[in-house]
Amino acid sequence: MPTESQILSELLAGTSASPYVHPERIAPSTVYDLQYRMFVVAACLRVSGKVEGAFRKISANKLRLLQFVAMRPWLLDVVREWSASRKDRQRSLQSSQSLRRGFLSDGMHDNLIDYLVATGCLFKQKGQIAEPISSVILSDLFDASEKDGLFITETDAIRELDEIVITNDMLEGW
Amino acid sequence: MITLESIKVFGKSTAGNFSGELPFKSGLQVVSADNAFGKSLSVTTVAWCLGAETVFGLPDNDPSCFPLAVRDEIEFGGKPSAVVSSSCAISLLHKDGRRLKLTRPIKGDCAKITADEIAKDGVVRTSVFSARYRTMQDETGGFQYFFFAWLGWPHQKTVTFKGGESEIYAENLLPLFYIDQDEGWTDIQSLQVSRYGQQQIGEFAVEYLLGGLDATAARVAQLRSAQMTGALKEKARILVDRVVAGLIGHGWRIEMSSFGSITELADRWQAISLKDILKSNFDVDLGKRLSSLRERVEKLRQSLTDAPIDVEDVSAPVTASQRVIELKRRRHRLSEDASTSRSQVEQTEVLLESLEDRLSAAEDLFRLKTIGIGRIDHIECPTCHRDLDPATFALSSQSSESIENHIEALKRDRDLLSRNLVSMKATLSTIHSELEVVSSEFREAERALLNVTSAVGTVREALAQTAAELASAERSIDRVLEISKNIEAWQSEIDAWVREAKGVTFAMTASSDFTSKKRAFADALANYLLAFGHSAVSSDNLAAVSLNEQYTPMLNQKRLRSLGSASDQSRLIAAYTLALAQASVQVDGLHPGLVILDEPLQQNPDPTHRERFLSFLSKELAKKVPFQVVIFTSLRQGEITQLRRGGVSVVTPEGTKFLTLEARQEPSDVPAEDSPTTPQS
Repeated sequence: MPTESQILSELLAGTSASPYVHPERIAPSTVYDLQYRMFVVAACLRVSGKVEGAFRKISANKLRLLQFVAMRPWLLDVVREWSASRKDRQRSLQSSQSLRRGFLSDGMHDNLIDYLVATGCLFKQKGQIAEPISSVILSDLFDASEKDGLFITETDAIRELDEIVITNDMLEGW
Repeated sequence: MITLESIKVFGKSTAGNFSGELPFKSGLQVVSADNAFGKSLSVTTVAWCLGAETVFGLPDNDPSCFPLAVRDEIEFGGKPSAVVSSSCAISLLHKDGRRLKLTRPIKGDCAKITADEIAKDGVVRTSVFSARYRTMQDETGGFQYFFFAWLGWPHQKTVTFKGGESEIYAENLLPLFYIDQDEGWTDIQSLQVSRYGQQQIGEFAVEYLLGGLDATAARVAQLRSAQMTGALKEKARILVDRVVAGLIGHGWRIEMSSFGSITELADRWQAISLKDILKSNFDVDLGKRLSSLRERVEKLRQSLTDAPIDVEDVSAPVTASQRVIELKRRRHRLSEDASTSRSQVEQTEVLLESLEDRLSAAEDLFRLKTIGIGRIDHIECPTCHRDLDPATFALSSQSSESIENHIEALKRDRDLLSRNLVSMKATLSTIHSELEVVSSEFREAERALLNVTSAVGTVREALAQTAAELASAERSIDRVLEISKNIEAWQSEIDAWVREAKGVTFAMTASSDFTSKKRAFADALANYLLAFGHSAVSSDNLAAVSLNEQYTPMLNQKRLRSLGSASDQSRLIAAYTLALAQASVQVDGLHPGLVILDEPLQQNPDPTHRERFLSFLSKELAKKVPFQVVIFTSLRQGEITQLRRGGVSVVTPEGTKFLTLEARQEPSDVPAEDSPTTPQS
């Protein structure tokens, strides 16, 4: 299947224009990579998930926030401020402003969860996302990455987020 | 050139006096004895008697390189006896007929080495030297100072990482002709001492032994030059930072950098005149400004003292008020600019931080992809068992190339942002300094206005106004004088740096004489590698064997160490060591003409390695070496017979142990000198 740039190049080649491609300018960001997103979900489950029976569970809304901020650690201060102002509705609305942009339109996370559910790596259970303890794909990915010292920033961000009070009211009040 | 004539270890135990001696002759010889005989004890003796225990990573005068048998407890016939004292000695024969016997206690006062110089006519002169303390510096008591003189080795300076000077010591040369069993075979010059902080000591040692004193001198000059260049560059960087920041403090932002070579920088800076830059870029002539301020002060002073005052003139409060308003407006505008600029800096810093995070994520993802963890090659639906394509869920996995491209783009953005940030910070500093000046003027103007409005009558108002203006002008003169002083100081620092940079003499290059010595070493190395049967070297590619700038053996621009099989490593080290001695003889270098190889066969249990080594020993190249080679190893009876049949000198000491109890005699404090182990050749 031809890529967008190949299609564009072919179209331009038909004219008198000579296409010149800077691949680094059209390379997509890492946040759109499947493996990267899978690692972040695996890290959220490992750091913030709670083991209940044969599953490791996390609130779907919390996971959504954790993974979003883990990929953008510079937003940690915003979350901290938002948490501190959670009892003041007006301030809370203002302090979460810079977090809303992008977060509300993060459709890729939903697609990823659907994909992982379809593959049997995850299950949806009444507002919770559950990973079977026996499932190896996500846990192997996390263990191997941690062993090689990869994605330390993301893992640290999730650990820091775990220390911040995030209420259901905050997560559901969007 | 010297020949090691003998090694002797002797001492006193509670069971009696003990000793062991191994005699040697010139040329190649193999000392074969069973394991645990005491071969390594004999080999260690050589380094110890030369005061070079630091090659074993030990502190000065630490005899722990020796086995416990000579330090603590020794067994004779299965019965342990405490060691009361022990010493060792080596005997060296110089090619001109002089002999030197070096004796050093192992258990006892091991900080001293006794040297018996035996002249050709048999006259003996005994001296006691300090083994380690100021060993090269002390002309009368330092052992290495004496030993270098006895050998005819010149003193050679090297450069340390701290910028100081250091001598080449015996322990720096020893790793090139003394390969010990434990560490010596791990790499070329693996016993080299690095803790003295000498730069490029491995290269210095090779050049020294090849007699390339001009090459070592050139290397010292190059290192000195590199150090000087580094220091000058650092000085230039600090100077630029100070000058640029200082001028920004006065509101002038100039383009001045410390990039480029010292010569380029000196040429560029020679043309710099800070006064001219201020004049052309900012229309600032401090000289003119000072003269005009002085004229103004003179006029104001005159109007305050002599000039008539117009009693009808009511403009003084208006003028003072107007100035306050004007300055307030300027201060407000600058505050706004500063606020905008600060906010830009903050935003850029956040953006830069986010870029760093994204870059780190992308680099980690690239590593993840290249390692291959978490790669989902085949995933199917757990119920219908059909392949699940991530694309169905609008998901995709990026290729390593795509991530690499993204990393490049992020790096480029980061560099751009970093440069912008520097520029923004400089702008902010300029605004701040301007704001400081305007605020100060504003405060003065406010005070002046207060004075003028407090004055009663037009005359007093005019006088108050003139006095305030006079004070302001005088403060301006002080400011301009201070700026001029700073600029002159910076200019003189720049000029001094240019003079220093122009005065640097650059490094000499090595003479062509050394090129031929290096060539001889490379040729000898190629021959020895072939003779040893190094699997990467054949008669077809012999000409491709070379030595790089660090004297690392290369084959067709690849390091020989990375070529061939694992067992080639010890063959490479043996060939390198012998080739250096061979080349030194050929080019009349400074190699002592002695090579000691301890247990070359134990480095690899591979039978082929053993065969190749024994085959090498039977070759003419090995048998006819023009220097002394002593190999300590353990050979099988068949191998000994085969080598002897091939004309190789194999020494098999009698008994199962190197150290044996001497026949009981009258108790004496002096250790016995006689009854060595008789070798059977």
